[in-house]
Amino acid sequence: MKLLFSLFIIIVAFIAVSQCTKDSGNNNKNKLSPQFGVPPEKLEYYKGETFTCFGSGKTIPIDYVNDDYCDCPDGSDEPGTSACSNGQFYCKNKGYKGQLISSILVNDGICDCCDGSDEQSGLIKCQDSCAELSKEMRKAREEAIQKYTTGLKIKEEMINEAVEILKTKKEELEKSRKEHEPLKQTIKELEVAKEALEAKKKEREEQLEAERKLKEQIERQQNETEQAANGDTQDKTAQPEETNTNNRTIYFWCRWRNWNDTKCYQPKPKEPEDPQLEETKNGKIHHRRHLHFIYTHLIIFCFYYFLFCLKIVKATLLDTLQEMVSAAVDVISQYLPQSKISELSKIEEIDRELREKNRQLRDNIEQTEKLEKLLITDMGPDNVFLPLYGRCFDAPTKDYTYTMCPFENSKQGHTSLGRFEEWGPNHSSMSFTNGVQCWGGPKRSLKVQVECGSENKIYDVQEPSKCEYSMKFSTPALCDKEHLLVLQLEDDHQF
Amino acid sequence: MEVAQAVDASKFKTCNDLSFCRRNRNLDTAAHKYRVVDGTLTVTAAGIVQGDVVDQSTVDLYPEHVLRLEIMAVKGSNIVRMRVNEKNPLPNKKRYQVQDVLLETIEYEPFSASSIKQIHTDKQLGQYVDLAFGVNAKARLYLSPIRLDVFVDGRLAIVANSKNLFNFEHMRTRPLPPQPIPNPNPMQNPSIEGVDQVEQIEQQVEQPTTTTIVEDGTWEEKFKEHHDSKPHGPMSIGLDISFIGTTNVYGIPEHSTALSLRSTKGENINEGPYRLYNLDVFEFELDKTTALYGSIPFMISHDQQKTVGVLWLNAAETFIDISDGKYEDGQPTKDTHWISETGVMDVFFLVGPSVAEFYKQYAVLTGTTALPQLFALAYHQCRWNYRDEADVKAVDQGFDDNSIPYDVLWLDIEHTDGKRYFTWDKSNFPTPEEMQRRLADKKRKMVTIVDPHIKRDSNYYIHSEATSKGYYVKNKDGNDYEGWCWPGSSSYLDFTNKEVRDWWAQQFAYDKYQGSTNSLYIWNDMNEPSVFNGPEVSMHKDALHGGGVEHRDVHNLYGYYYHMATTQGIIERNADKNDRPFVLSRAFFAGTQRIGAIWTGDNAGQWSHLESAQPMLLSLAVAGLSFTGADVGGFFGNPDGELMTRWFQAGAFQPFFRGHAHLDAKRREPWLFGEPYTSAIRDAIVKRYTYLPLWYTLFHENSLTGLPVMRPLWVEFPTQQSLFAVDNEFMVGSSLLVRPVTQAGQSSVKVVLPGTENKQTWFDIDSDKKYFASEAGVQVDTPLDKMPVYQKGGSIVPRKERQRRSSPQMKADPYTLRIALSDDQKASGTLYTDDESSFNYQKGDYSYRQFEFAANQLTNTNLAPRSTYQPNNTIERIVIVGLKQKPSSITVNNQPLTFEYEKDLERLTIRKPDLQIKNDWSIKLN
Repeated sequence: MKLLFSLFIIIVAFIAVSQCTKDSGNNNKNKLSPQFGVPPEKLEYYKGETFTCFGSGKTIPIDYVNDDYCDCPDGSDEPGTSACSNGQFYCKNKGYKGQLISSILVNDGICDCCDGSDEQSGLIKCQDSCAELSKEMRKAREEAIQKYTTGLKIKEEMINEAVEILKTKKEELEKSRKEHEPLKQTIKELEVAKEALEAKKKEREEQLEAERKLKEQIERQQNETEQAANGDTQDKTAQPEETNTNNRTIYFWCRWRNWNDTKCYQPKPKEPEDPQLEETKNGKIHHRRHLHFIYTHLIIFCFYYFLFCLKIVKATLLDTLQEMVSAAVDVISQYLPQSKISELSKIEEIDRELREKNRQLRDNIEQTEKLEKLLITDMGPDNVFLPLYGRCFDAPTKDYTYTMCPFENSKQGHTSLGRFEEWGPNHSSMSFTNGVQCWGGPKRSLKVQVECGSENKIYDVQEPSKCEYSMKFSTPALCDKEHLLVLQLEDDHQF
Repeated sequence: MEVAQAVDASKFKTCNDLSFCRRNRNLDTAAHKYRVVDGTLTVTAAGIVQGDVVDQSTVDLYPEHVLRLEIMAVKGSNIVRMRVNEKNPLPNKKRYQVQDVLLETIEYEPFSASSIKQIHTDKQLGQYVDLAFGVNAKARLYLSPIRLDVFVDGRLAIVANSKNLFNFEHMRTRPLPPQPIPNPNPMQNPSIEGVDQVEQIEQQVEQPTTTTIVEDGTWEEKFKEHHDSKPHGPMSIGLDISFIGTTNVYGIPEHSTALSLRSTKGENINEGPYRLYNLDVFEFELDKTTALYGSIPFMISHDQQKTVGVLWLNAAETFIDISDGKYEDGQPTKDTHWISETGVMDVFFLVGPSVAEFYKQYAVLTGTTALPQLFALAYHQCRWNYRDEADVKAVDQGFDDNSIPYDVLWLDIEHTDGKRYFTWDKSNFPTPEEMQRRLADKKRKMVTIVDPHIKRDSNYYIHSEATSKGYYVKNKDGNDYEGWCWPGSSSYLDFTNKEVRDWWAQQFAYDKYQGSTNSLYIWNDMNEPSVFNGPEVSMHKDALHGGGVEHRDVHNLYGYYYHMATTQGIIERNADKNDRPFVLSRAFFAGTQRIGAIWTGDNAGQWSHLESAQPMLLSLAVAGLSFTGADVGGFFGNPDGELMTRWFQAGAFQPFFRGHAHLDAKRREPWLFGEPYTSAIRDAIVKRYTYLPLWYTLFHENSLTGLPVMRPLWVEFPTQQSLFAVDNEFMVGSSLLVRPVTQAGQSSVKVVLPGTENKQTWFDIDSDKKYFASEAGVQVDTPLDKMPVYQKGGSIVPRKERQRRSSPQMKADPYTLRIALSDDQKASGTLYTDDESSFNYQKGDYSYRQFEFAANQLTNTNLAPRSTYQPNNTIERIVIVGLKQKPSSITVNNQPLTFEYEKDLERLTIRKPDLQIKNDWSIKLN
């Protein structure tokens, strides 16, 4: 009994002691090799009696390496544990490819390396998925090689195309520049000619004005004479009014029809026998002529309106209006005195020509500027992006179709997402800014991520922030040979 | 984007817009006199002191208007309760008594029948009885006029009705509209009930001479285009309560004012009384007494001698006036005036007197904080809205790519199918379960929003079921109440009804809430409730809840009940009901701490809002809500990198830590600001994770002590008068002092370091530099990556210093003990651990350890010997700062430990003691 009791005491004491050793000697249980988690190129540093921290030069016994306690401020003493949050762990990933991961991911219960080497503490059992990954990687690489091969071929074509386009564009620019001066000269000449004609016209108008004044004076004098002669009786008073009406009608007519008509400035003395008849006759004639005048114009107007309507479909509004005005002037001028016609039509003709030339000049300047701008725009090495100029790409989504025209503009349906602003570094992105203002937000903008692809297309349209859009643009133009070489090299160099 | 304009203040009512508030605020104190009717004072069989109370001025006119006064003492606490209700209520309507807020465990200590036997007489105040309760506490009830003085330790602490503002509008039948004398019309003689109220009012308007009978706004009220039918007429209550010997009162959240509450009465004060009425306020204004999203009618007074407080248990609209006064003996007072629109007058007087006793008392009444799962204390990433599954994936990956830990990704309203909660937008979130699983693979969670407004769409199962079961709140005419909210026309479930809450809870079952998994938790927004086209963007007061209760009676409880029902659902969705819930709410009431977290609503991305987050969170904390936070970055607008960094730094030391942004705001995930901001933000978030053991321990300790987790300085230094109004610094527990940087370009700040009386030491947590207490404050540099935080000398803080992707991955990681010594070379601290997620801790499956450093010896002892949790974590490092002497050796169980001592920093680092936290041990410094 006594023996049993002492045995019990001994056992209890033993358990207690072993418990204590367990407490303090925990680190000895799963002692890791100092080289665990070290990438091959750094292995040599982890083989001596001591270890020197990479960053600080602090030297520690080799036992302190991978002992799950962070001694080096740079974390280099714990390549195989999570003790230093700023360290790195190397997974060998046999059958796949070696990989450096953050020490944060070591022993956290999540398998990050395909060989599971980052989870040696036993929180989780990891399956080795390296072979599978390797297969996937090979497949992905083959696809990538395919993509790059195709892309590079197209890129070559694009570069060749770019040479042609550049040549054409340069020629166009030269042509455009050449046309500039002659156009300006012609306009100048036309303006001089127009000025001269207008001066002549003005002179004539002044002359007519003077004549009109003279005529009025004469009429006034005549009236005064008649009034003085007829006295103040009632039936006499009606007379001058009628005459006045007559005169006004005549004046109107004269202005429109024939200034040379003697009636206009040499009014005959009134026929005293039958003034009423004369008045009625004149009135009827005038009335009929008036009607004729209005009808003709109405018909002509309708005709031209019809033409105008037709033209709206074809031409710009401005042009049509101009044409219509000049056409109308043509028609009206048929009713004008011959001398007048020639004068007016000449001015109109010059005007028309001037407008035309000015338009040509504007187009010319615009064209020149556009070409100049195009030729200084960064089109990438060998101007490889040049063939994309003038092209637009669409990406239909559930709600809208997005359109991106490189170097020009971008749209969501009909809403502008902005005009091309600039390239990102190494042609990896394009930004479009100053689109339509958002309600309660910024002006719309778009950032296009550019990447190598076997064809030119946009996809993956997003709106990460309100009215700030993003999309991806895959283009052969961004494929590079070096990357293909690397891919091919990797492909040859399987683990 | 231009920051949205601040709230349109004219949308909201002030005291002047409300007749009950006007009447009480302008009460004719000379005319009223409430007194205990002679000979009615008795002690009931249950030990309640009871008596009849009448208003002397109207007793002849309304002899039936008798009130029943009850005084009760809460067992084991220095709490006395005074309740006043109608003795003869009308048959058709009972006054609302707040339910489901107080703990059911409250017991009352019966007063003995002899306690009222001895009636004393004061020369001025007349007859009174003394009712002793608790420990050294006493309530003195004066009979005529009625007045209650509450004493503790012989000191007068709180006085009720010394200003004679006691007012109790007895419910009455509607007075007959006066018979127009010139043209009496018998056909228009209305009956009291069921008559078109408007018609009556119109008649009264025609008879302006009769306004003496029906006062303005008593039987009908209008605000803007909204009409309140007020079928029960005036029924407000009011009471003045003075806190004696104090210059600071706190609490009554939620408001945007300073921690120490401002006066609302007196010269040059334009701000109206503090208002408690849960409202959806779009970008609230700062330093205002106007109402916000939640209400806790609990006020705290603190002075050098005592911490006392009052819980005004009422869920109707409430106003509180505060003014400075002097007691007759010359002591300063804070005089307050409490006014509620309806309900029973139910007041709890808590008289501490110590801070610790006071918070234990409040915990007895409304409970302590539900222990959150550990992940809920980690960092949350939210935005209105993460657009689709690809977006979620990219944001999740963004954190990993940038080595920034986070635990929870949130989805706002756009994730639903047309704002039908419990559904998913099929095109953007076609595989919600898979999405959650992907997050769960990294031990991360997801939170989706579920709001209380239900889209009125007969094809929506929630709506059709709620309609057929009659679960909606009704309008005054008895039809389902309809209002406008996110989904358009909506109705609102009556969560005051237990049956509705149970039904709602069932909706969270995995087979009902399609696409939800056990790593999905919930966010309750808009539960004030928000009704876009309702009065003040909320529900009509004459809407009807079950049992004929008007919305006006329960308004401030609506969001609380909703939060409660959702939380119930999150618990019950698991068969074993053994996963702690996480539900964030915007509206709240006293007791919300038992349910879940809240945040301070729609703040703005402005420096001023960062600054106001501290006083707002402290005001919530002192009123019992510890699990709170302000949206990091501010909800509205586009904060720049500096403001974001400063906000992350502050948020990392506040209880609920979530970044959030408005739909119109630019993206602002932590890595989008570039350097130096991204690194500074990463450091802030990582720091939060290293202190998670402290946070978790503090939440556990809240359940033991009721003490706030985030604390005003006065809670820790209750006798240092100069700290009583400080709210730009705060304590995390008793060990960390935090001073957020809240101004642009602030390259240095002044930090007041408390504890001048006892040569308190403080250690900068980044540099371990030692400071001594300074009332004037020390000026410290605050470059972008530095927010001043100090560990209090005398404290031991457990940390986990290994960075991980999310908090569950830190579970097995070893601890570092950071010991900051007091000047006399002592320190102590605690560590609570459990499985971090289940309710097993309630059955004792937890571990609670105490670390104590004294006499050059560090010991680990068990504070809960009966607890069963056996964590395998070790201590990998012990850092002792403020250690004046380098030890010659350090041993544990006579085995030497490796260490390093830095003389200049007085810092000792013990390398790899590898001791288990679950075991008792002691380390000797020789």
